[in-house]
Amino acid sequence: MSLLIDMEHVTKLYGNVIGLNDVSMKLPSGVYGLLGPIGSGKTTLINLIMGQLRPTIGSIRVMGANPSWEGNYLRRIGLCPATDIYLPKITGLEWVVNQICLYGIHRVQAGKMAKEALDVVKMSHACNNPLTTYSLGMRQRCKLAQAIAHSPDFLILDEPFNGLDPVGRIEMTQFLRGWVKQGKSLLMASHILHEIEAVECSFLLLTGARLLASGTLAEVRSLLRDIPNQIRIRSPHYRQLAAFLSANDDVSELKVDREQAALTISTDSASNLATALSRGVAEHGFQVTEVRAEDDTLQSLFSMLMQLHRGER
Amino acid sequence: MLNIILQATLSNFWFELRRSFSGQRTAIALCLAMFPPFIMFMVFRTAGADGYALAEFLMAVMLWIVGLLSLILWLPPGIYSELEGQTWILSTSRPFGRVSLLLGKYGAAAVWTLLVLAVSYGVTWAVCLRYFDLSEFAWGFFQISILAALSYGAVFSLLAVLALKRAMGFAVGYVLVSELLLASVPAVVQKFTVRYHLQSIGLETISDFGLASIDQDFVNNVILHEPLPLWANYACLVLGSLGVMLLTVAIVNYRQLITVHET
Repeated sequence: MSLLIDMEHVTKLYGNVIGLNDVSMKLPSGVYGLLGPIGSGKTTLINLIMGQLRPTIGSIRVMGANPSWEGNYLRRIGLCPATDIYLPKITGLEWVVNQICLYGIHRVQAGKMAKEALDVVKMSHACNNPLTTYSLGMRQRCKLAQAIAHSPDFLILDEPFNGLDPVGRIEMTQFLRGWVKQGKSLLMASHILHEIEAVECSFLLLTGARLLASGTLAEVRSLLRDIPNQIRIRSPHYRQLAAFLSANDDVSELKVDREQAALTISTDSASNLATALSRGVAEHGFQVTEVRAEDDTLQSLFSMLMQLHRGER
Repeated sequence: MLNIILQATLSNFWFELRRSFSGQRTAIALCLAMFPPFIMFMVFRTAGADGYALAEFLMAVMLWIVGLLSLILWLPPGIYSELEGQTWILSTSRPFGRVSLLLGKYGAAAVWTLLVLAVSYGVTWAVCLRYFDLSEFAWGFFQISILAALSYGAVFSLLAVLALKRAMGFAVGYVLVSELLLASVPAVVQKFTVRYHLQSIGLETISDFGLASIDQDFVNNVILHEPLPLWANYACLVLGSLGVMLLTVAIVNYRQLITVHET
């Protein structure tokens, strides 16, 4: 069975500017979060997948097809780009119907498919209003509707949470979880990490046009075994605890937060630190009210990887 | 494959027509359409029935200009707006999306131009009714209008996918250099212009456009250098348009047209 995405040393240059730099990956069908700051190359990667761009160097295959020359694989992909749609006088339904017709589907059939898709994204009530009267979140839902209407196997979303209100974000997350449960593939680009985290996925971290890391959260964590973890400890004896722990070789950095009566500790070995903390509690009677890993989220993982990338760790 | 292209092109065509019917655009189209009848009205008001020859010539020139302006105003910006509005990626993320989008816009611009020309011709007919009957030229004008819309539409589509943002400027430049200058040079180069063939067909099928008083040798040697048979003019326009559109489709498929914000 062919891979979902197979990239080999792909570099994309825009004149002298590097859009993507020597990226290689072999991704089987699955759910992927494409993470990276603005300008990191996420949209370039999506455009390469969609055949809008061709690699300057390297090769890419999507679902077994060469995107530059074979267009049929696009029938199996639904794309919801980051760009906004703002067409005067056109209703949401008309727009989605037209987008479906572009697959060569008859207008009557496309009308039915569009209504079903708009129902899924909870836009049925407003689908006959002009696009210009929609909020950004409603237009975002319309874009999603045109992407899923033809039941693709692989859904690509570029910043899908843009413009959505809190309820919309929850609904989008629920929709994406439902999509994943159907066993379909998903690639979701975002710079809002906790939203990607909400959909259990492997992730691809891009920065500076390079693929910095890839894998599940646990896999990337294992790559970072030797990188200090951050632990936050709250204790009414935080001063004594700080003096006690600072003597421990496993502590690489220790910050004292007097207002919160807390310590933030960077350590190369969280387990050794836990042992030392237990000893401190047992031997010196330190009270500890909270122990929390500071870097459990993707946000902190991302920061950690960025620091590693910049040579700051 | 052809079925997909046809369905998608038709869809794009209807969608383009649907979104293009705005008050502003209709007002501009009406202004354009009223230009030839206004000129005709002024000619007859000034010269009366004596203005017949001048009016006939001017009418052909005015309709030609109106057709050109209509296409220049709507086709190149229509294609570029897709990129500027960053909606290009939505349409082109479908199989044959680029081709169908281009053909849909080409068709919609041609239809708009034909509508403008039809209105213009109709009002001109009403204005001139007292002095001469334009209805006998209707079939000829209809043919020429279609050929002009398709031929110039193909050229402007090519310029639009080559020059993108500057396509309107290039289109005006093309008209000035090729259709005004080169088409007036009594040499073989004339035959590479659209106007030469339109003018040849017009002289055969409509009227002498006020050229009856001019020596026939002058018409054959200078205005139309070594005239081609009628069928050859039709063939040049149809095959030329087809060739230019194929080239345009090839370019639009090959070019990496991306204007979305990089994230």
